[in-house]
Amino acid sequence: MKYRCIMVKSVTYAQKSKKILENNGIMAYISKQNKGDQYTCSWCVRVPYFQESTAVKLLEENGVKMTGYIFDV
Amino acid sequence: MFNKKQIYLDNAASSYPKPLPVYREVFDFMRNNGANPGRSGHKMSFAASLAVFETREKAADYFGLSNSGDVIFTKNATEALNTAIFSVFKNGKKRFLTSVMDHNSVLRPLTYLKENFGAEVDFFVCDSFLETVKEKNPEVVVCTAASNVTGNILPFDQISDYCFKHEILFIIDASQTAGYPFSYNCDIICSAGHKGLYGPQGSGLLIVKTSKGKDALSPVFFGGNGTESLNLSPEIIFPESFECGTVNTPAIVGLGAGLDFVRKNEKEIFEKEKFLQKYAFWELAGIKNVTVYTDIDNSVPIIAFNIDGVSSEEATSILADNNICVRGGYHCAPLCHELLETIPGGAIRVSIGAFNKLSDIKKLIKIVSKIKK
Repeated sequence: MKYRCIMVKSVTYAQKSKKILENNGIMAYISKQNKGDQYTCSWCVRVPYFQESTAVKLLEENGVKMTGYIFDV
Repeated sequence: MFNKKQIYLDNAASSYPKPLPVYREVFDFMRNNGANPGRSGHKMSFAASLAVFETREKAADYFGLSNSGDVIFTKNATEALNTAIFSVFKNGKKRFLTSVMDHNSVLRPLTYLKENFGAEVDFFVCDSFLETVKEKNPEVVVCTAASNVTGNILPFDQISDYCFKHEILFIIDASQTAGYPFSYNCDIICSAGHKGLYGPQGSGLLIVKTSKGKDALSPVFFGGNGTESLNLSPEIIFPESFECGTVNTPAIVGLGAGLDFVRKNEKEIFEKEKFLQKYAFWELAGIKNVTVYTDIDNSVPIIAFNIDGVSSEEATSILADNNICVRGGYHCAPLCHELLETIPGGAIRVSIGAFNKLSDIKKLIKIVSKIKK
């Protein structure tokens, strides 16, 4: 399955994101990413690609700070 | 370590013993993990991060926060209070009001700011808060919820009502009340983790309750926190920007177990300790040469007292010889002792914990009653 990696601003936000998403039925995995100069030492929450927009909306509604960078894994 | 079992009545300094799960969690983490949380991308680091996050969530739940990101781990209440005080001063607040019952962890940073950077610092005595706050018009009220000397509880509901009505930032030092059934209507809470919350030493909390509190805070020390390493001036993020360097993960996971214990037993712990305090109070008050300073009807389970003609350090030394652990002297609260008129000499402080028994108090009374000038 294809996944989308939603990059968030800290490990605490990553943990919080996982909890929010899983409470809403979206499987989420945390990983660390170094993608490009802008987002070094950043934290990523992986979700199935078809749930990306739902996930982003949920995270926004719950005050999770995202970098705005989302990519395929 | 000790050739005789100690009767520990110094829980206001640090609680002992801890519930068994606290020791287990600390040992388990140190023995089976030990990775740095929030740094590397491997399983052990993730597990450490998760353990820290779980304690953060427990603390948020306990203190009534919806966002665990507003829970910042510190090494003790002193660090939390220094961070809060220096931070709000740096961000433009210059006029502070605190109480004469407060600990040096509040008094000393305020005094430093006053003597070196022109901060205005005023003091209130408990029943004169309204009069003083109207006269002094502070921007920040920072005070303890209960005295670490007498246990007397400050009128923090009255203080918070006034502060919220008049847009005054309110910081509470909850070190002596955390773990008991109180709620805190304030902007920022600072607390030890190792007293009434039964966490290990090396744990403390800086908790942001309101957006006003959040806006007033910014980091006062800087370093690596596992994010944006190439950026020398990263955006401020709660809590990571306030947790630079390696956090005390063993203490944090232990604090998590302590929070489990108090969340489950808070009411029973307080009722039991108050019972023991009342027993001790009335027994001590009945001894002819003893003066008690605690307001038994409005205090956490602490009693401060003196024995006529015997300095507090001498009395506590005799108690120590009888394997009873209490604290004498000035308790890092000089203005409180000025108010009590216990300078010189200080006072003897008995502070009861969840694991004390009636037999501990009876032994204390027996020895105290024999100490004479």
